[in-house]
Amino acid sequence: MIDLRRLCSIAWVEWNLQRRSLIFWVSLALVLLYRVARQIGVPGNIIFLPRQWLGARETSLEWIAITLIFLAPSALIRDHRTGAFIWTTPVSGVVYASGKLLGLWLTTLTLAGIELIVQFLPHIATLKNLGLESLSTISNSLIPWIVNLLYVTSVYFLLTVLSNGQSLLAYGLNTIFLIIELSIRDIANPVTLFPSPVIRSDLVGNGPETLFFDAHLFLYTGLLLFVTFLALWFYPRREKRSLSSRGAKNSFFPVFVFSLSVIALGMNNYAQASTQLLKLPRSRLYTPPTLAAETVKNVYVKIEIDPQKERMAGNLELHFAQSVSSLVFYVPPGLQISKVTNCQGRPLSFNNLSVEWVQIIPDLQICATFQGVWQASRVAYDRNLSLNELNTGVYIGGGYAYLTPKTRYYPAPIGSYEWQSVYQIEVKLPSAFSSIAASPTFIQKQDGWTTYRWESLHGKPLAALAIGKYVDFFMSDGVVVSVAPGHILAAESAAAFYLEFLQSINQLVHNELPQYHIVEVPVLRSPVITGTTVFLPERFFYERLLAGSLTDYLRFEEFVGPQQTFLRETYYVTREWLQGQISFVDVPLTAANIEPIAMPLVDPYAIYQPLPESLAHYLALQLTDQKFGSNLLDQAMTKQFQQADPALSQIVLNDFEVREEFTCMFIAFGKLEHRVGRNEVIRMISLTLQRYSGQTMTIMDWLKIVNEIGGLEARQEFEGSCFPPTP
Amino acid sequence: MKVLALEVSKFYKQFPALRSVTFSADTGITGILGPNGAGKTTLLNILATLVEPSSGSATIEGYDVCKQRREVRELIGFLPQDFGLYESLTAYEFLDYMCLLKNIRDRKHCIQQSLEYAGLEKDAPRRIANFSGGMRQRLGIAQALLNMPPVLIVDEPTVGLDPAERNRFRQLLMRLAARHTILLSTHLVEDIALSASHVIILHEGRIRFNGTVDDLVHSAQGKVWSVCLPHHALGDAQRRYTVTHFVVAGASFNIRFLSEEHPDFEKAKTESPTLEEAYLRLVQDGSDD
Repeated sequence: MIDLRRLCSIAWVEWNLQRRSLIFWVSLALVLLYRVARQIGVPGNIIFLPRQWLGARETSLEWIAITLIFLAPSALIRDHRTGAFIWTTPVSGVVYASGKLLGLWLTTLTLAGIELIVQFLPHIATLKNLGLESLSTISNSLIPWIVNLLYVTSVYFLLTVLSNGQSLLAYGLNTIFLIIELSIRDIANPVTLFPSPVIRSDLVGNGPETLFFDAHLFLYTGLLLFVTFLALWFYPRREKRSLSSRGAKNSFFPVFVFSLSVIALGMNNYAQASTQLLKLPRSRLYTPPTLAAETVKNVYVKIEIDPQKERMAGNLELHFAQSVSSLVFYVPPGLQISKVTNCQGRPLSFNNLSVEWVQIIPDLQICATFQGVWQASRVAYDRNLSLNELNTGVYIGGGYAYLTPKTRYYPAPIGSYEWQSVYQIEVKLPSAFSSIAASPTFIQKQDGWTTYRWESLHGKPLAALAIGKYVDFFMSDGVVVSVAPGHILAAESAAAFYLEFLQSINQLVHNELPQYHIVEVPVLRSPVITGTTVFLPERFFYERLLAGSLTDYLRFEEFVGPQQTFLRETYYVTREWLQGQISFVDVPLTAANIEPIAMPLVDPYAIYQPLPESLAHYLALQLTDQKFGSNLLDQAMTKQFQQADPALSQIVLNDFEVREEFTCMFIAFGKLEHRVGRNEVIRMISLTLQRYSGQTMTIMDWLKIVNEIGGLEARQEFEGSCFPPTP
Repeated sequence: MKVLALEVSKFYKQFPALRSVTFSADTGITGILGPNGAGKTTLLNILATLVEPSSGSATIEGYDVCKQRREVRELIGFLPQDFGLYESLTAYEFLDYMCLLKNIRDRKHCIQQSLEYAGLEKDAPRRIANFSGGMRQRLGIAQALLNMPPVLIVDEPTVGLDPAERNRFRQLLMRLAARHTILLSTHLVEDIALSASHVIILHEGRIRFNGTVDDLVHSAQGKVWSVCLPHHALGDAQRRYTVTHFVVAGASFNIRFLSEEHPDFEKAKTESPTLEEAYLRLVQDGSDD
């Protein structure tokens, strides 16, 4: 058996030697310098950050990986001078190498732990809000983070072993390894794993991303075991003076098989997660070509959905205003493009760049036929801890189909044309199912099929539709709640809870509470409101059916108290409501009735179209402040504006930083407000709403208004934020 | 015999570092003397299980140094010629670590004892980085003594030490010699003269002498001469003989030199040889004893 006592002692001494070494302190200084620089707002695009060299994501893990290039080999290089002592003792090579590696792991974790604490210090005030749920989130993200650190350390150790402890060779090999790692743009990349496990735990939580993380964890735990195995196997072979260990010999084979099994399991899980799920993380890291606003004149989409067979098929027709040399279509998971023509029947060639992207040789018109199943994972989302951007475009399954406006649910190029071109979206459904559509411009029932059509002269209409075996519940005030049969008992309480907020908002903007139609929809993370139709996530219902369980709302109330929770919920509902009004029709906003409104955390991930989203955010804060006499907007503006103002003009957004677009846009509002005053900004918004009522605004529309009212050229502030996000 | 080497040879590629070395050693100090490059360190590294011999065999208390390395390592303490220490550790921490590697159970007692032997009791809590060369050597011997091994292998331990430290180190070895088998490699004859009872002279990888110090000295009996020469004759004498010693006496030199036969100087007379002269005689003429 392995001598654990000796192994631990070797590890302990190695850790002591490391932490007392100059190289450790230099490494720590470097990592902390980086952390402090990031926290005081040094912009991300400065040249000495690794992300600039290789386009990697910003992360302290990269910095730790860089310092480990030199730190890890020191454990073995040091032995050149002390080897004669060590190798005249009866310690075996495997035990010694294991102890060394364990000591190195401790050193790495010490380094990273200190960095993590420093990273967390500015957020210390939020500690009091942490409950068990948050701790679980933290541990969920910490575990893969630790596995990654140990994996990188072990690889460096192995490379040092292979280089026989020759320092220059070891540094060189380690550097090559890191460059390769940084070059891999993948969520599974251990070096570029999401950087701040505690503070930005968005990629864990309850969403489908969990599967990526589980797969990632499996894969890298397996790799960690395998690399460790290789290092311990090679070490006694490279260090001829060391003794062999019979116990180690016996355990090598099982460890070898076990680690390979874990790797295989991880790869399998990862492959499944990549091909079957939403693929958000990978999409984030891909830079798709985008189509400019003026390129596309008309967009016609026809979709036929059969919930019974769980299939959808359709056709996309694009009319170009000018010739385009090449087109890349984003294809939602589950769908395939089967045919592409010039709309006169002449086939056009196309090829798959990946599962998600299809390249087409274009003509002036393009007709693309597609089919398949838009399959999303039925996962309940936790809005308080997670993203809002995974709102599924279409869900088909179990006899239900849901089409929500926020995401791309048919194959199409992406680009700013989506906010400007003439659109027509047509969806055909079997009439045997009950269906609820929000604000269609045309409905037709014929031959057992119902056709809904949404049209817009100015950008993509936010079509919203639900179809399924619904049971309707009629509330006393005329509100209809359509729910899955099993959820009928929760229909009233869930709807009443939500309507309380909607009523407040309507009062605030001097509206009577309209007769809302509330429809239960799975897969959504947060509600979607279009006109008078409310798509409410299924968690609102099933949470109320589970005896003894707390709703999200109550859970959050436990953390931050009732007042803050209510304020926050109002803000979210207001924002969703404003977003759902498409162009904020009928919202009588004037400078007079808007008083400036504690800032609920800005959720920078809630991005679809930065301008409307930011406007909704801006107005939601104003309305919430007006209702409760709080000053959320001022707090938010001051904080974000001050933090980012000096560097604002230098911010260049990368495709994978879509979350920053919203923040950037919001900052742009702050900057504008700083220049012209709040009242002027409100006037600009009011005019925008009047002029573009019923249409989707573009960034250019907004800039025109800014120029008209304020006489300002605000292009610089807003332009950087107007690029469309990746799907 | 505690240490036994039989026909041990070691070749580094084509270069012979050791050629059919055979010897044995028992309790007491066995000095291994030889010029630089004689193969002393190679021999000790083989006995310490760090290097495998090309041919031949060696045992420590009956355990083969190639096939039973673990057992041999339990029985030896080794102080290499050139070694590094963990500068950031204290002397105590370093010895404690070595105790763990050597699998010593009563660590505290062993550390205390070896510190006493090495005269480092007061320096135990000091960082090794602050130690002088002599203290480092003593710490080296302290780690070798931790488990009070029956066989102690020390390679050139007095190199770089000042006379006082060297003297102190020799006394330490002599104290240990009563209970341990000590293999002391050195190229300083003085070290052997003052501490060893048994001596092995290695030259160009071969044993030139293996016996007691007295036997070695005796072997040079009648081969050491002295004569008084004028200044101008000194150069000629140095060309023809190995001059081991000379002193200025007014306008002439009193010289001691080695010669197997009666030298050409009429007034030359034989002298009692010193150990150094006996050693030089063996090393310079290449004859096997």
